Order: sequence, then structure tokens, then C-alpha cells
Amino acid sequence: MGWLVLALTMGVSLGLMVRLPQTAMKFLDRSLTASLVVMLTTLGVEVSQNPKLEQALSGHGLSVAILLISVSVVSIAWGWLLERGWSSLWRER
Amino acid sequence: MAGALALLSFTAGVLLARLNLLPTLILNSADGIGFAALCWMVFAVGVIVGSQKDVWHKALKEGWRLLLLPIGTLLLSALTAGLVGKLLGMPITVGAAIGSACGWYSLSGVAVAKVWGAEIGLVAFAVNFLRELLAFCLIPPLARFSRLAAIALCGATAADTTLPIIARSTDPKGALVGLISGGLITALVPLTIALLSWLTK
Repeated sequence: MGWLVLALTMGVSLGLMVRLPQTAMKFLDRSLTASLVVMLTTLGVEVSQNPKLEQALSGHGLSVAILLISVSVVSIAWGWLLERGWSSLWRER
Repeated sequence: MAGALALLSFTAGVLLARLNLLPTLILNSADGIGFAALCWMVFAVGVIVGSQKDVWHKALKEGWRLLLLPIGTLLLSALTAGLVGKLLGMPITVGAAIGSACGWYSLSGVAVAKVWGAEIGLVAFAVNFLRELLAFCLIPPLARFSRLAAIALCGATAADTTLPIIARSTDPKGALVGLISGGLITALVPLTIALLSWLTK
């Protein structure tokens, strides 16, 4: 977590202090996709080496699915309601 | 596109490891490589968000209302999982602890297992891991009709792993809101689980 906070702080500070050229911004934007692929591929590798997920799904698949769906639906509904009702943040859309 | 790419990359990782197509060196250092990629992504998002100065003014103008998203997401996730867990035969505090992790699977698996046992810890791990995976796939389509809905689904992960997809699927404003929401949830999750474990005793 400490490294992530450091990376974020450095990024935000750089963005606030230096006006980067368009090509650098484009590079950063493209690098997001590449690093996303790397991160998720390694996540897949880690999960396949970790028996926890399979154990939970084989023993409690239904409970996991019901809890996951209910929590996700409620969170999505909350965000949607906030955006529709109270938040002026996106109002100019 | 980003959602499909996320699912494809994850599946590729699982298959590559299962079929033993990766050298041992990469298999052993997958954790480190993934973390380095995550650090780079968070840095890049930081630069993109930092360079949009008007976004900061707009978000700060929103004031306390900005807190409604993370606090509501955390409370509703805990409450819903508590009630649904009760229907599934779990004590209400156990379900609430599973839901209140808001996608932070590494913490929830260990913390819940410590208080309520390994079996419930596995369920907490699976629910929260799959929530993160679901968020990776659903952020792009969700963000088209509601950006806050996409950020709410991410829960605690909006401040780290899902932040780059939020940034790609929304705009710098969305990334900043995701960062604030995910950061606050991340700070509150351990406290909520501790409170629920105290209520159990």
C-alpha cells in the first residue's frame, strides 16, 4: 500500500507541477492498457496457483454467488441514484 | 473493450499457469510483476488527474456530498450482505463483515477467517475477489450510463486496481472521484470489520 500511495503522490505532484507535452500524455494513456494486461495476467497466474478460490466455490458456490450479486446490485443502484438525484458533479453532461 | 480485455487477460493468466506455459521464474515472481504494473498504472493515472486542474476545483466544490458515495457504498454493502447472509443461514454480523470488505479480498479473507473461521474466510475471499473481477468487466458498460454506479461497484478497489479502468472508461473527474471514494472505503473497511467482530463477541 505504501508504494501505491508513493506512486500516486508522485504522479499527482508531477501532473500538478509540470505541464507535460501531448506526446507524453498519449504515452501514459497507452501505457495504462499495456500495464492493465500485465497486471490482470499475473493476477490470473496467482489465482491459479492459489487453491482458496476453488475451495470456496466448490463448497459454497451458491452463497458466494448470491452474496456477490446482491452486494453488487445494491452498490450499482446506490451510485446510479446518487448520480441521478444529488450529485451536481456530472450535471453538465 | 476494456472489460473484454480485462477478462481476456485474466483468463490468459489462468490458462498459461494451468498449462505450465510460463517459465518458473515468471510464475514465482508473478506477484511482483503485477504489483510493478499496478504501481505504474497508479502513477500514470496520478499524472493524468493532476494535470486537470479544473477537475480538482469541481470536486472540492462538491464538498461533503462527495462522501455520500463511499459511505453509502460501504454501509449498503454491509447491510445487504448481512441480510442476505441471514437468509442463507449465517449470523448477520458475518454476512455484514463479508460485504463490508467492498472488494478488498486480501484483507477480508484473512480478517474474516481469523474471527469467524477458515470456511467463512474462504467465502469472504471469493465474494470480494469476484467483486473486483466483476468490476473490471462491468466498469466500461456501466460508466456509459452512470459513472458513479461504476465507481460504487469497485468499492475499495477504486483507489488502486480498478482506478486505471475507471480513468479510461470515464474522465479525469471520474478518476478523482474514484480515488477519493476508494481511499475512504479502504480506510474504513478494517474499522468496520473490527467493529463487527467486536459485536459478535
